[in-house]
Amino acid sequence: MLGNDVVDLRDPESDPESFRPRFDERVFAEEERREIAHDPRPLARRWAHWAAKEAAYKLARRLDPGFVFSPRTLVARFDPLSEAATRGPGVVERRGRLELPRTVGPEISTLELRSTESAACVHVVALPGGFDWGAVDVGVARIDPAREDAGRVARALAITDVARSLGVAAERLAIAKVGRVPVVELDGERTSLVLSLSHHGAWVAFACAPGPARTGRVRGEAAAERTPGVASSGGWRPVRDGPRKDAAGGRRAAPDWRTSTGGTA
Amino acid sequence: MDQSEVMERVVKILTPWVKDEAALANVSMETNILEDLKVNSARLVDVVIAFEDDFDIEIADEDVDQVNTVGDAVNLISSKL
Repeated sequence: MLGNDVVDLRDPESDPESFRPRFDERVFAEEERREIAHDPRPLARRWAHWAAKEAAYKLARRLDPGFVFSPRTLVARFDPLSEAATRGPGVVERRGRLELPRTVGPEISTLELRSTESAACVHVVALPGGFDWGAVDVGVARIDPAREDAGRVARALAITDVARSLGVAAERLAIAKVGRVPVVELDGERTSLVLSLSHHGAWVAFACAPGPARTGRVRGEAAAERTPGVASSGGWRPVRDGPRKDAAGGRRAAPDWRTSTGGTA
Repeated sequence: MDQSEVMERVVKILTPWVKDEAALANVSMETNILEDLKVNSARLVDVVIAFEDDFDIEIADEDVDQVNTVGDAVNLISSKL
């Protein structure tokens, strides 16, 4: 189980001044407001906290449909940035934790957070505590929101990267929606992969990891939308719980900061 | 205040943050705020604060969680007036 969220820091709507004065008090706990104010990168820190809340909510809601988004109760606690946090030119990674206000699913209450931040965007992934980050596929890409459908590009990005990691042809993968939850299908069968998609402004992102074993056709369920994969080559490897190593592509725990080549599906 | 007046004020508050002009032109009670109007989720919290200020009401997080469409917002606000 996982959740992710991306925030475009250069979108005019990310300017804190564009929000009502009561927004911060309603959304951020007092300790978060204090940390944001004292951070050397206050804008990124601010939206890392927001994205952490969104990612945690997405994770919790999958396990408990009655879970309410009450942002001030979802308190993200990040470690101080250090030299070790550098992930590339101008890119840093914050690590942190978030205690859910109540246990969801199979005794999940503590989440681990990774926030990857550049001057342009913040991307946060939330996983249950103790989950192997090496088993997580993550992708982040820039789009032209005036020309491209962000949701479509996010799904295409996920299909391409997940197919490469699994070593299967992308055209064999599809993303269907059951309610508002994206599910990954292989040859029309639902896989056990857990997928989270997000987009904001000029950025799209996804995170994908093995989930509890669950396969079967989506047929008969409310699959409102289905995005097929694109052509590539490779053979099928079964999806297993736990870390996966794949010669075709391997797993990436760090986002791939790149420009999209456009919608591929 | 009748429902059409609440609707008018709700749409006016939402308008600056709508990304899909065509959806706004055809806005109805069934229009989804996030998916159709493409208002982003952080802005939705700000919009709820604007509803509170404009209508002089309080809206709990549990209520916000139930708001998906413009009609949901109109009905919620109307129930608190």
